[in-house]
Amino acid sequence: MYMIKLAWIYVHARIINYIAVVVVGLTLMASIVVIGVTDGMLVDMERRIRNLGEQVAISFRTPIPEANLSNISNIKGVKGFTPLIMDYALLKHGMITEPGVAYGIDLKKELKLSSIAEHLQDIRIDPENPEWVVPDTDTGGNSPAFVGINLAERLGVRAGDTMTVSYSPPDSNKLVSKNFYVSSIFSSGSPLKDRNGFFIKLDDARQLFMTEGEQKIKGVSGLSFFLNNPEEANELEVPILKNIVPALGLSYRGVYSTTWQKRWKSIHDGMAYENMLMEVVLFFMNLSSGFCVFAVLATLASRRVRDVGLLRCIGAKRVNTIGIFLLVGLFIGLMGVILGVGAGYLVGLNLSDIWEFLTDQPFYSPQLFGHTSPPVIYTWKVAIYAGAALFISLLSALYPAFSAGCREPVTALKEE
Amino acid sequence: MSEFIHTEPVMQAKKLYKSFHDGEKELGILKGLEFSVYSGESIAIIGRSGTGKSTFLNTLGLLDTPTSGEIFINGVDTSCISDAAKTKIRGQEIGFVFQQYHLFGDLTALDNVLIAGNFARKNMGKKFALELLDKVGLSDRLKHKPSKLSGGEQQRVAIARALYTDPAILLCDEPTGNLDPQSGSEVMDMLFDVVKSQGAAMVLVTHDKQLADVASKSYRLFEGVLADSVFDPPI
Repeated sequence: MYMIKLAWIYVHARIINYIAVVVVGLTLMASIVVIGVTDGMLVDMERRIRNLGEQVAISFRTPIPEANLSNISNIKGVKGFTPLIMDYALLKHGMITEPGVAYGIDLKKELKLSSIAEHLQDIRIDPENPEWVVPDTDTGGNSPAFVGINLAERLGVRAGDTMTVSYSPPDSNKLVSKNFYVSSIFSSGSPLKDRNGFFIKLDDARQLFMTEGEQKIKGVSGLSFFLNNPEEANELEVPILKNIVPALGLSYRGVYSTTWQKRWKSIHDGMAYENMLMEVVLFFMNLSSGFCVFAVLATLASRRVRDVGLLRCIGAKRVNTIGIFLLVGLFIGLMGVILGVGAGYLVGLNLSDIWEFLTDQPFYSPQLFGHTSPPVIYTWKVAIYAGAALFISLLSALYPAFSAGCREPVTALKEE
Repeated sequence: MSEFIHTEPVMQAKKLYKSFHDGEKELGILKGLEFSVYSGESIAIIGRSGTGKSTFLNTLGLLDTPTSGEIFINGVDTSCISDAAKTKIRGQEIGFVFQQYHLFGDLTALDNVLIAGNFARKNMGKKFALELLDKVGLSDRLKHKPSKLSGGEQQRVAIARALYTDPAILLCDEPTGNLDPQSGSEVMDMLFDVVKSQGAAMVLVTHDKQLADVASKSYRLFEGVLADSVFDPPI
């Protein structure tokens, strides 16, 4: 009991010990906040990449009948799939013409699996009764379309405007054109969709991009698969192909597939690499806080040599005296961890408010980035960092503890 | 003469040598010293400064290791036991009283007494600690830290701590050296009383010839060996 009591007294004996606690705490707090921010960015980037997008994309060289899709059985790990017709087209509004990517979708099915409804700015869609336009809107007889925010800015269209979509079939010089009513602008954060994409109905896509024969069979040129765990996209790509190719009566030639992970690999890997580098930097920060604990404990041990002699004199074993200084290291580490974890969560979760209070600027400006990216603090990462901080504190206490504990009692008693 | 009937010395030193190295020169402090003390005895060791009295006491108390020779405590030859066993003997069988008191400055008087039993693994209970502090006249200073106590009071706490584990031997290194004559006298009276009542042996190192006379035996440490105290060494 007196080991703990003495260690506790030693922790509180000098203000420099509190400084060590603060250093451990601040380092841990910085680790939690920095990793929280980078994880937040990574999560946000993944969310943006996946927003409105499939996790596994399959496309066919020759469109297949939509009816055949019912042959596809359940695939383990797959939440569902939606039909897709994707092609490139020219969009015209007034004097401006811009290239774009058309996505012909089944809105009802899409709403069940993708996050499309969250990103529409001008319309709130009822998932039970999905409508492309606000009821009773005069569309001028034109089909509705949702246009990506950046594409809309370049074209100069807003919700309620009309635009013309033109397509030139590969085997014809004829230009197929169709007017669309812009029923909503969407901002998903996904650069692919926001910059160039626009959504239209499957039937409208068929009219624009498919031959009459393909239109008759109600063809679809692609499938978007949504997974229970998007991180498993690469692993599930082959099982999906193995399932759908025979089910749809296709050969593997002319069936193309990719995943969101493959599509964004370089960015994702870059971000993950940046995270790893950050973690290395934070490890060294934690290590330097360990040196602080080391310095504090070495000072403490040199100032308490007489106590060590006295303890040995009254029957304390070496292990007891070593234990007291290790306990001091543990207490400093523990107090630092409590401080660091508390402050880390407090600052991490309120970073934007704190930043704005201090600088009058938002931490992650929605004006600049189009959205906010709040830090994501994983409890398991906090636990690892807290454990590492505690371990480093204990490790730093080892040498001072042993050097103090192994002093001969007679020489220790003589030191003042 | 002691009033007790002795069969075996509680502490015995045989052919005790202790030397220090000063560069290549060897400095002999204890030179084949023979010594024994029985329960209930109080032995005073006097001698001039630098003759090795404290070294002798530290060696007897297993705080220091002799260069050669044997120390028996309650019949156990301490020259061939582990450091842990020596620590156990030191904690349970020996009580130390130092000139500089050597109290834990951050602990109260009561804790300074109780801590001895805790580390020696010979806990005699809080009641006994309170009795001892009462015996040394500090029952109203239990919660005081050493900085709030006078020198005499601090030394009395140190005595209570030394006695808390009910040691067989009490080793006192100039216990009144830092006290004024009045306090010194009080401390010594109390020390003799308490030791007598507990039946412990006491080895007392002192410069004070009068104090040495109160002990049941006194020796003079001269040129590394113990001589009868009446022998006056040449200057």
